[in-house]
Amino acid sequence: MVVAVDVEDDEVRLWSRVPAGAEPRDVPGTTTERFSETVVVQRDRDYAPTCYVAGPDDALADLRAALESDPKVVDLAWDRKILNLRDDPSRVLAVSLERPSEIATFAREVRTLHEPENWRPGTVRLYDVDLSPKFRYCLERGVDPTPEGEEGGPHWPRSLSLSLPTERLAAGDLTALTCEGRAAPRAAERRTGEARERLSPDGDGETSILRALADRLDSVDPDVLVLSSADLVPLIHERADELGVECDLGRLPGHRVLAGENSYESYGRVGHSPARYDVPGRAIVDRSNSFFWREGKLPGLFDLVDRSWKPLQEASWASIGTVFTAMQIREARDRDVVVPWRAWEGESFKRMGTLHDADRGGFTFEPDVGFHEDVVEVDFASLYPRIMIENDLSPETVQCECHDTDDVPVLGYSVCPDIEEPFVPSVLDRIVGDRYGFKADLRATDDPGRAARLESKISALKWILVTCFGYQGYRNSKFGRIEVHESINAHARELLLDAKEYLEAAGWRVVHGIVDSLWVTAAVDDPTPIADVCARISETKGIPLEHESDFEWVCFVPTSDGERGSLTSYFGRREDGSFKYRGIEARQRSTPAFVAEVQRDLVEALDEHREPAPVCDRLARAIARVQSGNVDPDDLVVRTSASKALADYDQRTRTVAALERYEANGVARNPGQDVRYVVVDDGRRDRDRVRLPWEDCADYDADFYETLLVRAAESVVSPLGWDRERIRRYLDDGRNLTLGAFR
Amino acid sequence: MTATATPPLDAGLALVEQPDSGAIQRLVLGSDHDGEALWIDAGGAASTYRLTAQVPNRQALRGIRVARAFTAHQHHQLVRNAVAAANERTGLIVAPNVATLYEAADASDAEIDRLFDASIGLLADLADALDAPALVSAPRAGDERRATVRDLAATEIECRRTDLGYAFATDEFETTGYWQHGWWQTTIPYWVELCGAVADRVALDAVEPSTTEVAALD
Ligand SMILES: [Zn+2]
Repeated sequence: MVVAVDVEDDEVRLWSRVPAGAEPRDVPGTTTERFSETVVVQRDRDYAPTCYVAGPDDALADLRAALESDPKVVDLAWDRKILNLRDDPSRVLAVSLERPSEIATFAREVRTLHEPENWRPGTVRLYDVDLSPKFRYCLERGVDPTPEGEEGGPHWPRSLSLSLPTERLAAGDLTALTCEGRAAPRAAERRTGEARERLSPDGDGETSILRALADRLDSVDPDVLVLSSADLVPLIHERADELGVECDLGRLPGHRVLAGENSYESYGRVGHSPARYDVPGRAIVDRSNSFFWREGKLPGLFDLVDRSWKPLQEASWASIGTVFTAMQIREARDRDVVVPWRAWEGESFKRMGTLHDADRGGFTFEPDVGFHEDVVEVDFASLYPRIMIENDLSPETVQCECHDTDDVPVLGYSVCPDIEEPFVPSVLDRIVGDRYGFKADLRATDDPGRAARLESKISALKWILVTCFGYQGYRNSKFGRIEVHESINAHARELLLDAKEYLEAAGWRVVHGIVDSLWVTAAVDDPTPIADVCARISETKGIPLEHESDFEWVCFVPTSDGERGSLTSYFGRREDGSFKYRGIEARQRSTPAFVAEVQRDLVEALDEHREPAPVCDRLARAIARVQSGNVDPDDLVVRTSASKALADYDQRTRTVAALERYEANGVARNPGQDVRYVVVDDGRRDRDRVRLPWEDCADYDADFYETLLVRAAESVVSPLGWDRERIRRYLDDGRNLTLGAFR
Repeated sequence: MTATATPPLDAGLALVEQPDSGAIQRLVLGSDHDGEALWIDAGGAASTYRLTAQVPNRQALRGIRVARAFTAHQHHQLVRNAVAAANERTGLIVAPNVATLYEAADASDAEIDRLFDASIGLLADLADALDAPALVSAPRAGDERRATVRDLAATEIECRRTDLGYAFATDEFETTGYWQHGWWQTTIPYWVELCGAVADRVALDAVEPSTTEVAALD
């Protein structure tokens, strides 16, 4: 029932939506107040969060003695916890802090004050330190922050969505604020983005907008605020103060800044996280900062809340890895396993040769560049998670000390058979199983609202299943172990190679393969039906190989130097008439809408004629259009992101020109944030090279966009052997449009 | 003429001033250390070892045991694990990019500095205890961390990338031959010319001291 959790130093508040007059689930240590007929708040004034310290007995005794006089510490006790999945419980010092915000201070002091006095670094280790505050409360108190009512029904949480365009937000102009929301939100409507309305049809001034907003908050009484940017929170509150309008986004007055904005670098990519805000009584979802909102909307998010116990607001801004880690932390707590603060455990020493065998990465079979007819795609569904489940791969099973068996292909690591329910597979098994169930439900339902909710959940869970198993996942993981990831890869390679052999023996030829998918064409007149081959492989291997798609044709695109097949760029037409695009411009985020649309059109031309010349005729028509100046600049917006701050660029790129315009417009752009622009004069090096999307744009640089079009066309015809020069030559050859271009 | 590509490695901590990650790898391959090498990896140096060091065959990888760290805390733990794993057969310790993970760490400076100093100190102690060389590199590290390493280092090995392969220099040694694409070339006149050239290029020091000599070869 709990939707919003406010963790403040003097009290914790749990806000629930309940059926009229009903009581919320009991939480020991709280007092219950009714806020309205269907909203209750439970207050906890005695919450003292606990973390754990492990180390040699004398060091712990020292620490305990020092902490006796620490005013932050309200309780000290000896306890036994499992510090490492492979170990038995150890004696630990449980330290409870008076205030939630003091956990971080305490941990830092142990590292930089207490430990250095007498002990070498790393003598004592801290656990359960960096859990997010709302999540921590739910874990420690056993509070399930998942709504209880019927999904989508009258007691389901209500949401209200507020939107303000970026440039208006930067200008502090609330007059363009729009709102979307109803008492019982419907995912299907939300998905289409319909039902957006102006807040105050009868007056445009900020005062009337804010009054209308206050009325709306009153009448809907949302549990969840879905905001185009969390920066709306301080803006609305400040403006309401200035104008003397009573308008609080929360159920109690005020807001708090939970974290300032910052840019960060992660594996060579620069990211940006905007500031985070908290309002009392309502969960905030910042659409500009929520991966899972984009992928799973509220139903997907609530499903993740249910699995992880990370309350909605924290789940909404979490990365895939953070949510998966939270699910594991919940499982860990059930097993009395505590969560290490710092990642201390590295790899164990192994032979350099073994490392090179282990480090080969996923399976790839270089594509046969060109145009292929009658191609079948087969995929191993949820390959990596299923490998872990099927082979019991988990940090505590791989390379165990009690067995010396040769269980992992090539690497020869042992996998302990004596562990009842291996840790990571247990967590994954539920996700894989439930997602499979959702898919079955989706096929069975004819209720569009339910179908939309199921699709959202399936989509959100997909990301958990596809992304948590690479080395990157390992680096971020609290329960990762590199040997597990190596083992997964080794199994995957073997599985794909075996599948390839099966398929070839059954009369098929593999034209491309990557990680978990194979593309095959018939090598003989009468191959074994693909369904039979898939069934056979699935049964033998214990991992389902699914017949994913039948293509009328597929083109595998060469790399830009034209020398090899690109592993991830292809396009094709399925038997059902739909097209699939991967890796080419039409799928790239940065590609302007017009260019993407032309490329899809070129693919259709290729489908129609199966030859490069008619495709280039169609390209010529698109070039003529772009050169005539008749393309809407909105469709020419290039979308990229800044990798550093404006001052740190030493080259005059288009991004720099755009950043200068953002700055001139007073719109802050930090590294990692989106940068959008239309190119108006690519020959210039100053900021007049580009325009921002909302600026007046009388003219664009047609030659620049022509170049993009030719590049997009090259991806389409290069599988047929035409490169950029050949396209240019054809276009220059008298511009002889065939009839095909005018069809 | 017999040519020597890499200098003999003396016992103790040696700072390898390298123009790229290939140099330390070349040193390991060229060294005729007895017994086993323990490699504490950071920044992915071990993953490219086979590639950039031009390892002739799998045989040449034998005798090297490696463990990778991805965080500062893991790195420190690996140094400690190396102390536990080392034995009388251990003839070489290798720790490329020794400061990288500490520089990238998301923790308080006080905590990380203390960890880094302890790691470097342990590596130096381990080298002394084993009476074996410990090769470390710290490319792109901050001045303070480089100074810490330099203070503890018994030797410094200068390394340059030349058109003909890597060249190494210590106080007592200079490369007289270049290993390139699997064969040897002796190029003493070339080398002499280079050394002469270095003196004229002091101005480049302003950019980055350690790369002066590399720049001189461009
Ligand atoms: Zn075992």
